[in-house]
Amino acid sequence: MTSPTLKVIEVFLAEPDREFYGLELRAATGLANGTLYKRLMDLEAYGWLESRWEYPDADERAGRPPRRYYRLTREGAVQAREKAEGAARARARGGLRARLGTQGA
Amino acid sequence: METTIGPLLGRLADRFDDGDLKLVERAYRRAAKHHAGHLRHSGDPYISHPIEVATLAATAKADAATVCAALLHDIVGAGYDLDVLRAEFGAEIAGLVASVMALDQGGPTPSDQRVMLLKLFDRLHNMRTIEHLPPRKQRLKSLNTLEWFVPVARRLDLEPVAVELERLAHDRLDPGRGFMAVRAASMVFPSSARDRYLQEWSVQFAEVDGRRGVYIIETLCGVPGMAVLLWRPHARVLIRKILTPAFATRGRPWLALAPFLAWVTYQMGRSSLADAFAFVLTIPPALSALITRIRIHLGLERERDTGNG
Repeated sequence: MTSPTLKVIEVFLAEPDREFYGLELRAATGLANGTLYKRLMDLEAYGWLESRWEYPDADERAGRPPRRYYRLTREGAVQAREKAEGAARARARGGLRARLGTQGA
Repeated sequence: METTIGPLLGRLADRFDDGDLKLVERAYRRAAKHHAGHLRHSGDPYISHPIEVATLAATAKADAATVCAALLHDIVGAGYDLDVLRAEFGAEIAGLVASVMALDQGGPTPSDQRVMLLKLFDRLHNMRTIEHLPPRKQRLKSLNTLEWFVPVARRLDLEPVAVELERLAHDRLDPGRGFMAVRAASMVFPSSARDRYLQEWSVQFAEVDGRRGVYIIETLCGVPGMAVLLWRPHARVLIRKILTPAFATRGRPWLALAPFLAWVTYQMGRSSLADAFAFVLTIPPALSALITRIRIHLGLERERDTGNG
């Protein structure tokens, strides 16, 4: 799993029941808009994410343009957690190996 | 902008009987009286809107009840009592008006197609005059139009209405010169995805504060990668579509290859006959095997049982 995808799912996993919109994800992940949307397209195609327009008439009072919201699907939440944990383990192993390496040298 | 009923009645005269024409005129009088002194955002007398919606309905060959409901569709919102309307114009017309209002408040899609027709023409006229609304409302209405009304128009077999609504909405959603580059680049997307993401980014673009150029460049950089992702599910089908006719018979690929093979053989034969002979012995059988593999892959030929399965 590449790290931009990991960044995206980590944002979602921090609040698995929340919906996020594009600009918010862009700020939270620090990814470029194009990279971010590539990941969103991928994750949506895999069924990890689902998206919807907020009902356009509902926010006329909010004084801002309507947003398309993304959220984890139930299946996606399970899979994403697995991936994130796998990545965390790999990182831990990598760290350990690095420490062992310096000790050995 | 029309504020009198004459042209509409003229349009209906050959289709409606006297009773229906009288009813339409009565509906107009009621609406005109009730909207008197009200203005639209454009500054036009309010009555011009119900007349325009009714005229659109008449053009689509709607029945008398629908035309009347079109004339009356906003008067309850303007303080007229629905029960009085029912007493005055009957349950059918009052029912249509009530359904249109219910739909405005997010009610379920009604089974009566006439209600959708009225809502659609209401939106069409509002979109035609949308430049008088504040820009934010223009964007909201345009987005809503693309999301809900264009599909409804297609479902009702009103393609010209769908096309006009799309054009009007896209005109309003275009967030300015900077976004043009993204719009142009997105031409490489499959058309279904193109609309979806352009809508999303165009409204986001309006919300980005400062540094809009960065947003544009970031998006543009991702376009090639996104195009690959979006085309991926189509690619298999596309390749199959191109290859299937080309490999429909074993002869077709050979027909394309033959001139080339002949030319290479001839060139080789000019320097060394042995080379040419070796070429003819090895290359065509290899190509033949390749063609067979492709044909098996495309399902045009069955795998021969070679006993290695």
